[in-house]
Amino acid sequence: MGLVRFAARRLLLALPTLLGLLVVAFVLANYLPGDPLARLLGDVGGSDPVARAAYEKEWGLDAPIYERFWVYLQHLVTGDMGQSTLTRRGVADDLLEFFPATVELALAAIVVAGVLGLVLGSVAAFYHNKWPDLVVRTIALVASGVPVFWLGIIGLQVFYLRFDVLPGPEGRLGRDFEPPTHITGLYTFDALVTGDFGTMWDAMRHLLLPAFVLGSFFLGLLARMTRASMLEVLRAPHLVTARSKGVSARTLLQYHILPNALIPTVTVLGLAIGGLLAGAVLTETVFSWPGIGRYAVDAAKALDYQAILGVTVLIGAVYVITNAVVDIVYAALDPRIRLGE
Amino acid sequence: MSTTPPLTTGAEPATQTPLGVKPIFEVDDLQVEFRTSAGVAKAVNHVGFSVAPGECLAIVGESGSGKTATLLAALRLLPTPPSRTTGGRVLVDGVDLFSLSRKELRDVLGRDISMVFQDSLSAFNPILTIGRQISEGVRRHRGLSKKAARALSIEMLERVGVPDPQQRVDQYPHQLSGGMRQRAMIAMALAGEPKVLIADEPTTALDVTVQAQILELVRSFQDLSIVWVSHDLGVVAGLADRVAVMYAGSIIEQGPVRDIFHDARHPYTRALLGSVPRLRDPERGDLVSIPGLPPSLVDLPPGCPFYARCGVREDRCLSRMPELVDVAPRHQAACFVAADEARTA
Amino acid sequence: MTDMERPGDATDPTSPVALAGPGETMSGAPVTPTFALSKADRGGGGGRLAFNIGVTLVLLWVVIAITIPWWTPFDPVTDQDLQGRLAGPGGEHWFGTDNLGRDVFARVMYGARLSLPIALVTVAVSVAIGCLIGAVAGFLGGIADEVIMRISDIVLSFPAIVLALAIAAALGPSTTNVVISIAAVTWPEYTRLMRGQVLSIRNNLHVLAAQSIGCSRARVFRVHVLPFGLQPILVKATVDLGMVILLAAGLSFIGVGAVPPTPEWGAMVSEAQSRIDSWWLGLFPGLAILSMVLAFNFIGDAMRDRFDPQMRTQRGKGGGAMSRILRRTFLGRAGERAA
Ligand SMILES: Nc1ncnc2c1ncn2[C@@H]1O[C@H](COP(=O)(O)OP(=O)(O)OP(=O)(O)O)[C@@H](O)[C@H]1O
Ligand code: SF4
Ligand SMILES: [Mg+2]
Repeated sequence: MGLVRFAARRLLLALPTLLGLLVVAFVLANYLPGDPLARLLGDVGGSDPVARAAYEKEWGLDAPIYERFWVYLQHLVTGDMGQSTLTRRGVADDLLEFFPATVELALAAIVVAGVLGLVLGSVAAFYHNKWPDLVVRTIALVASGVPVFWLGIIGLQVFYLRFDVLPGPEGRLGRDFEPPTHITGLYTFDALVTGDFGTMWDAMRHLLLPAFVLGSFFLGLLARMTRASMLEVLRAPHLVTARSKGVSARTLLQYHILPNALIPTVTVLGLAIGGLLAGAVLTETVFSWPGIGRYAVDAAKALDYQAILGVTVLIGAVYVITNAVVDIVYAALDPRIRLGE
Repeated sequence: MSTTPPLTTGAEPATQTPLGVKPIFEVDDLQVEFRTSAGVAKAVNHVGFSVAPGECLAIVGESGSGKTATLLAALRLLPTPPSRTTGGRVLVDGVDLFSLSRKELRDVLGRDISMVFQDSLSAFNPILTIGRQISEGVRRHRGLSKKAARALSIEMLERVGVPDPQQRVDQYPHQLSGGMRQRAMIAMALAGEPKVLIADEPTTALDVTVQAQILELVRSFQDLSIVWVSHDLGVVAGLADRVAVMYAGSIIEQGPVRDIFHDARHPYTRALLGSVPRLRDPERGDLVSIPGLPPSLVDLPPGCPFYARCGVREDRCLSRMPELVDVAPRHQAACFVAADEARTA
Repeated sequence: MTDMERPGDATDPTSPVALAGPGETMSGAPVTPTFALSKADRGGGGGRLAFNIGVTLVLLWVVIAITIPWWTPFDPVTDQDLQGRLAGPGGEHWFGTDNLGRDVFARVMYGARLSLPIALVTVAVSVAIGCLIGAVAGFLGGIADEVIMRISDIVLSFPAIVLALAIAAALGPSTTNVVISIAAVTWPEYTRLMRGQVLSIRNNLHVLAAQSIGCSRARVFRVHVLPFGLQPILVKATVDLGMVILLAAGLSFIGVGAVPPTPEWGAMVSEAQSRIDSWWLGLFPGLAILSMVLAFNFIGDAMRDRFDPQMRTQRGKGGGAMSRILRRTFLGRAGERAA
């Protein structure tokens, strides 16, 4: 079938991009100024020639860059991404610890942005040029230009300081709560599975504002896109054809309006995943969210190249892969892509 | 019929039953407006016509003369803002479409009357198979099972001359060639066995050979009543029984196809026919190029809309809109001069 | 991803794919005006009004940036007043004072002197590099094209802010390094646009030559083709001015951009973070960023509509931008209408 071949081809195409991503990130990490070794080995070890030499040997730091890259690749496939100078632990371990927090935040943001964006966009289209349309367009407009870090602070001032309905910037859980048993690392999910509803509720309360803030840009984008594609479909000639056949209102909505209007939107939703992971850098800083965004900031400030390299590769890989998956989903939904135009 | 005193509106043809048979499709005094930023455009003004069973009526007229607006409004398919149907009556086999509920309307559309559009690519839903789209209407109207509807779709595709209907039925619109897609659309329109087929420039986008094949195909459905909109007078001459000529939202002449081609009375129709051999648009064979422009639909003059471009105009033409009157048996024109000529002849 | 465009591209009016158009797939003039979307329906908003608001805002900020020393008595850095620190808005200090008793109004207004040049320079650098590389790719074609487009795809798949963050941190916090780090991650989009333009021009050049009677090919190219080719780049650059302001503020917020005591909007919001109960510290610089970004968005959107109002609704009708331009050039308005 067309789709399987398409998917295989698309995933195959992602591979060189992934490799290229690794190469570029690696070269950058190695040529940016600064002496990571000194930081890695600490004040004492950094000036100790023996320690330096030992470390350089293990990672082949005295070798030319392509050999070093080869060494890095070999380590990478065994799950070793090198040492973080900042945490003095394996970068892979750090990422494993911090990534779930970011994933949870990004997923929540997608849900918020997706649901609100689709609903608002559809409402705007159906009340075209009436006041709900105007309201939605204004929201979408502001969302497209609002700095998330600022929105986060304003949100905290309103919902935490002023009305005290949401928790402050204290991370994923309140002081009185213990993280739930680790299953996926997503607190809400783990708490739900283990039946710890108090923790789940607290986790959700902590998630709400950051998720909304992080998702705000995509909320606006989605509302705008949904509105535009909905309007376009509502006036598409094929809709007149469908109506001229006398099909039921339900068929019209279910097979002619919604699928055609939502395909482009679904695409953006998928592409948002990569964008949201990157956007987490700012949001996590505001909310003291212990995810890879904050890790990246700390690592960058400490010139911890190995960690930065790890974060970049991780987010980049997620982005490349979701892109491929989105293309495949798009093809599954739209025969024009799947079967070639 | 020529003894009937002229009526004041275009409603007359509706009372007139060609060949004495009860019409199957009647449009009566239809009025449609578009609200635009420039004002209210009166796109369809008191348009009326009727089609007898098995008859083919062609509607011709320049781009923008209101052909599409008339037909879409008649079937209540025009998006209602920006359009508004301000008056008229439409009967399909005696049923008044404007008095039906939305749901009742859906029972008539696709079953008693169906429509074929010009651009088959945009007229098909791009993400459903041809078969599904053909089945959709008949499953509702005839209560067919999925399987039966599919079988019918294949049969219809075969009847309209789509090769390999078994395969085509599962393909998507973009996988078919233009000519084949147009056939598929005709199959879709005819699957519900309607009594009336409305075709809005169905062959304009096709090349000449394919066009000829499609015409052949349509002619083969003998009991079908057809309203055929076209720019191409050659097509009209070969297909239609009667012709209605539209100008600036009104029918300004209508009559049997021979009368229109050989004995046109309205100056516009005459100019149109005169322009055919010489001023054909080399690309499309459209009817074009009578000097001047049609009036703005936003403020139509009170008099004859053709006045500005008319070669035989008189002062009285400015006073009021000439109504359609009989100028020959079953042949009407909306022109003061033509009416006088007919009376004195 | 060069030979398999992201699905988003087809809907993005600035993308080279949309401009090249799907060819003559829909022959004839398919859709009656009944179904065409009017300008305001296409999500952009009220065209001219938006454009005017955007231009007014930008001009306002430019004037402020230039003249601010003459109409505020306070220096944004040195005028500290520890007695009157963290005073709310009102009286002498319209936007209140900050942690060190500096006038927030002065600091926000002086902020424009930083953000505007940063945005302008960054976008200029990014456009110059991106277009140069894109033109090279388009004209050379073959392997060079393939390699260049691969590399730009790779850079595009980097998380821009993380990459910029790493570069900025490595180079050290300063405004110059903000420019460098943002330009380093934004150039590939211009490369793609430029390459698309070059390709479509190349593909249409022979048509052009055939039709340009008595008109030198170079002149036709310069006068009629090039300006249209540059339009989407101009539109993107305009919108990007806002995006760069946003990104630069974000970097400063994190602490790898402009450093205190520089009156930079992102850095100011960052300072407000530790004084969260003094709402005026963060509110005003944030609004300044917002107004700037929106202004450039407005202008960019309006330009997009103006340059090609039919780009989204009538794609395919006349076979893409190039053939439209050719028609406009050689057949006049009538030719355009006939299409
Ligand atoms: N959505 C709309 N908004 C405003 N005016 C419209 C709209 N749709 C159609 N019109 C106007 O109504 C008039 C009739 O249009 P219509 O499409 O019926 O013409 P037509 O005879 O079918 O032309 P063509 O031969 O080009 O198909 C035209 O003047 C057109 O400008
Ligand atoms: S009514 Fe007068 S203006 Fe109109 S067509 Fe007849 S002669 Fe010409
Ligand atoms: Mg029409």
